[in-house]
Amino acid sequence: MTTEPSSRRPEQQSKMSMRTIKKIFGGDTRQLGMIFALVALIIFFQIWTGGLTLTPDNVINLFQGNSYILVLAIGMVLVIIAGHIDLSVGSIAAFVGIVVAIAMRDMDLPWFVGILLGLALGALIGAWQGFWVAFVGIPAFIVTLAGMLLFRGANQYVGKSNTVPVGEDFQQIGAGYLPEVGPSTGYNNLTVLIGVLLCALIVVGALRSRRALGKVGADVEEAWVMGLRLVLICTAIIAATLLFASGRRGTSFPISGMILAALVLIYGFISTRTIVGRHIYAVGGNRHAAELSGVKSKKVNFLVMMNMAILSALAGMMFVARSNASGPFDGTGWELDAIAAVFIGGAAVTGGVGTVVGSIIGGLVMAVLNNGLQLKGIGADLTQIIKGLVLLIAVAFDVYTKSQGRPSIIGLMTRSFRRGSSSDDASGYGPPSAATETESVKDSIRQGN
Amino acid sequence: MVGRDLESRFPDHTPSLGETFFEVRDWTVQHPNVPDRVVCKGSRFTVRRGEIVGFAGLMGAGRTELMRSIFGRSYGNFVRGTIIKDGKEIRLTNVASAIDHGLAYVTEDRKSLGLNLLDDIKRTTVSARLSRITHGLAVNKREEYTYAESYRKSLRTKAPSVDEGVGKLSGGNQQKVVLAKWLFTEPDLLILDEPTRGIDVGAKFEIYGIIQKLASEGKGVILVSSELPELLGLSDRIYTIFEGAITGVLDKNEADQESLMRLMTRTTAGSTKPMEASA
Repeated sequence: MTTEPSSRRPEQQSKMSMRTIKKIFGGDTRQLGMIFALVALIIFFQIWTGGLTLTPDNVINLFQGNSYILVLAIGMVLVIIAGHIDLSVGSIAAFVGIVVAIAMRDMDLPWFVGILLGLALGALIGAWQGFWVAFVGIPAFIVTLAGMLLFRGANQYVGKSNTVPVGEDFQQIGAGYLPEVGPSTGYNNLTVLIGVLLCALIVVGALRSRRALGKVGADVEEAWVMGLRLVLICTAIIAATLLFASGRRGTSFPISGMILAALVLIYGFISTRTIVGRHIYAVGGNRHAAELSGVKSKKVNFLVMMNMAILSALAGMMFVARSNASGPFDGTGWELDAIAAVFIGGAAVTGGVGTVVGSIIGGLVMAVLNNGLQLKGIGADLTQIIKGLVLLIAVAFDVYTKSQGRPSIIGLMTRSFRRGSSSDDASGYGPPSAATETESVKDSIRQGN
Repeated sequence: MVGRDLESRFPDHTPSLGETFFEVRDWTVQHPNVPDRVVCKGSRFTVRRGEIVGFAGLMGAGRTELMRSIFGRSYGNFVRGTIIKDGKEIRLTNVASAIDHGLAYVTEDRKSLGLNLLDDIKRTTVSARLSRITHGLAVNKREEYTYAESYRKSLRTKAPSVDEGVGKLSGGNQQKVVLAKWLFTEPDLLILDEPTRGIDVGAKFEIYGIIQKLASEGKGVILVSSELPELLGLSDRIYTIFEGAITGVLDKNEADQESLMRLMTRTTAGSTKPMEASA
């Protein structure tokens, strides 16, 4: 971060508070905008529904009813970062769901064997699709469009278009809650414990990375910025924890939410800190450059498609568990929900851009919207119209701020931020407008591919 | 180009040549889409430690094709040929194995083949050999920053910090980031394909200095360039290529623009045997 000279022009003085906000929340503009949108949306519905949105029951319901879409969004963002798309996730989820349900019913398998079977089947399907995409070179759009038909048909063929119920222990992964343990406090103890642990983890992690980067002389943010951010994050986590923990007796943070949280942590780590994660971004950003840097792009594409199918299998099983049975029309339209979540969460259609956390936020925006409109009794027809417009506007807003460079709220923030940092460098490299530069970057990448 | 004073455009450099450590023999490669077309015709060349070896040729003569096919067969269909490094034959079937064997290739097309323009300097710097800073599962961000910063300083890349996006840098600074990326792999042989294309004069001079410094550290450098003054000013030895075949090799003191141009435009040469029957 750069220190501001005191003699700023007045117009830029007013932008400074914006910069401060951006510093506190960090990350890219798009993600920042999405967090604000999510918070604003929650507050809006909380007021509009007269306090029905932020009740323990509703929040738990919202998580349980959307966790499988969010699981799909995690896989989808990796697919989209690598420059592909997957339309088959809903059908794969349905096919795996029916196979697992039938296998458990007819062979009397215990629940964990059922889950392992489902994941293995997902891996197999993923290998099939990954083979066509990575090694034959057929666009993922086509391969997964075929997969969408293929596995939907397979679901109805295997299940004879019937509904197959699943056992109660299996239902836990979709409808279960953390158990009650320890003394009676009026809250679910385990949920509170996990919330506190999560806060501690985040604080320790932030301090450690700050110390590590500080040692080598990297730009570290001011202590108060980081402190304020950590306080905000932890307040939000504790508030959410108490909300989840204070519901009806027997309900608490859902197991499906735990699965989701674990996946967010694992995939957040994989995508940002591991070699394979870096390679996914590299392939999506510029495949030819990645290959000439030793990245095996076929392997990356194969893994990404395979991973998506495994997560689809998991999402399918979570849905079957929640709805107690597997049916012929499970997972219809899921691919579009997952893709929408990823793009609202800031991913680029051209690949190379996107984050796991962003996609989860994007998915939550859609989920809160859906939930709030339902609470107000607005029909599915209008809900779809509104969701469609939200997707369009969210992405249009992003494109607009990138291409126009005209002052919109977020655009203004970024511009003053970028100008501030580049004006320190007297050598005058790079064109002055950050916005046109981004565009030229995209252009050159398009040419590169 | 012609008629300008060549001496002042290149930094002073006294070559210290070591033994021959890299040799390519009978290198034959087909065009990837047209199998009948042979783009490298039994090429043979050697590189000594500390030597800057120039490759001269007209556009489309097959210089890039030759280099990329050597660099882990990243171009064309391999037909035959052997690579000998440090006295042992090595088989480079993909780019990763080429990097592991100490080869580095700086592409002529920086923007579409050399860089992910969405990425920042530090991640680009370490991208060609992430395993070097990966301990257990995680890429070590502290080491990433330290390496990127040290290359930024030693190559004098002009950027406010290594967190800057490479898409925002000028051509010369982008090229320095590409060089940093390949130096990070600790190569023995650097193949530089048009390393000064699209770069201003000041940055060119700096990059010449970097190339000479790498050579004096004992690395072999292959310099492919369309600018004859650049080749003449930097190289210790210059090979010429015409239509996929190496037509000759000239020492620094016997080469000039005229003699190079003559070899670059004919199919047979005095110093090597005729490659094929010419009309």
